Amino acid sequence: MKDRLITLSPFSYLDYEYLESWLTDMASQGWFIEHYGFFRSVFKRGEPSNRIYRVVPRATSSIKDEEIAIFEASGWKFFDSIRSLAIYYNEDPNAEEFFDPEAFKKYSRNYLVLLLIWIPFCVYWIYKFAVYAGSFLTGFGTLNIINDNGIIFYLSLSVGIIFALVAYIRAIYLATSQYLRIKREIKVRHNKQYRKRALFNNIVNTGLIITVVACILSSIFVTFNDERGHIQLDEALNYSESQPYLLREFSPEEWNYIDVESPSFDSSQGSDGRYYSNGEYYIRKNPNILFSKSVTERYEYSVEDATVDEYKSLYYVQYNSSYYEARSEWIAEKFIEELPGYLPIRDAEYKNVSLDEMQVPCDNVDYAGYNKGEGDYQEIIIRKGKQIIYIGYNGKKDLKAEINKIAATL
Amino acid sequence: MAKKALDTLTETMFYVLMSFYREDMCGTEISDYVKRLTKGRVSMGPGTLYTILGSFQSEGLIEKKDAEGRKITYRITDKGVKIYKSEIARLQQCIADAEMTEVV
Repeated sequence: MKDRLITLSPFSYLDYEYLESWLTDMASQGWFIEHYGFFRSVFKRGEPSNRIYRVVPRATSSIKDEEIAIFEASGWKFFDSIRSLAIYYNEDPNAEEFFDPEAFKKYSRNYLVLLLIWIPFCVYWIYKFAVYAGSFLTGFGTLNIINDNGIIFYLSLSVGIIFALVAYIRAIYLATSQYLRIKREIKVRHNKQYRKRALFNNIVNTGLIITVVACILSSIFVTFNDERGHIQLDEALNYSESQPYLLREFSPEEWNYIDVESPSFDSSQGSDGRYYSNGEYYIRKNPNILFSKSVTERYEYSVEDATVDEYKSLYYVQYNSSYYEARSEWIAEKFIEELPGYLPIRDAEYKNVSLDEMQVPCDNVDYAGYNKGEGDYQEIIIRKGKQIIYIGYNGKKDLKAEINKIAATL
Repeated sequence: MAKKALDTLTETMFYVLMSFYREDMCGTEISDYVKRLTKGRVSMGPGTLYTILGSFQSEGLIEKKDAEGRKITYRITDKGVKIYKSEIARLQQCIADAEMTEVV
């Protein structure tokens, strides 16, 4: 037979009338509270008894020995205090009750004020989140966000926010109604029917715990996965997995340049101090719930004149190639619909270019699109079944001339 | 605000101050003493008593005299005596007014 019983702590700091009823009921079943925490309570088995518990709201959170001694002199033994609540018990079920209306009023008022202080912050936070989420979803599209950050993170964050809001709104409701009740009739209510409230609180608390844990774990996973998928220069140079169209095929000259210059690729200044070069090359693998394969190859290199005050660009090239294998054709189709809003090297003015406007003829693919922006900027999107290739390029080569060649690799 | 609240003592406060006026006491003894004195008519819970002790102390009506373990003995201060006596005078005036009203 178990000696200890560990349960969720079902009652908040506003549910003290229910808490004492629960503790008293548990004692009648032979379970005596040993530890009451914010999330978890521990009971110790004993003989069923008529012990009654009283949870006393207090004006302050610190409890002094003298207070305990005064209660003990009245027959009430001290169990523990949680914030501004003190828990006492008495073995005599008919013991004289006690009630301190001043402490009761102060406790309710303090709690209500604390909750109300948070309202502006909560409203601001919800507003910011809604605007942020809204702009993300309309700008980048759901699938593109999930592709980068993971569906579990967003799901758990959204559900967690709902649970937190439910808990907060409920706390405001309880604190307000309690405060008004105490102003109206100053008396404490014992022997409350606690089961329904305990069930409701347990559901909300469990939901909160699960979503917070899921948020933390998925954040760790996203970070870990991202780091793992990020292949930096040296290793990326030797990357040989089946990415259909790598920079080395598109522009052997630039590829050779990286290879040759790789030791000083990140950033360097010419020995004569005239030129400053800065480059980046990596490959990032990010397979996830939507894509069995998701590989991005990124190359950026610039040379600037270091002798002028504002570094003047002498040479600039950027190549951003992503290859995806979706887990279904629907995902692939939907994903490229959202892609124009998400393209990493586009300027804002290009974001309105639709897939229809971009479409160009190309054999043996479901879709091929090409867009030429200002300057040297070009991009293509090709989809064949579940496979997608996106290339954004800022350089001198003609990307459009490569479309059929690239499509043939799918 | 608190000072104003002590201008007129509640019945419980009055009896607590009366206890200290009689002799130095520790908090744990007061409840029993008042109950005996009033033959059970005035009963105060431990929470109420502790709150009253706290407010009396912060208003300077009583002060700590001695501490032995958890028990703290208090004694009434001059200010406490003054307030106690003025409360008695107020109550006497109340009774006198009431008696006058009966005669009329």
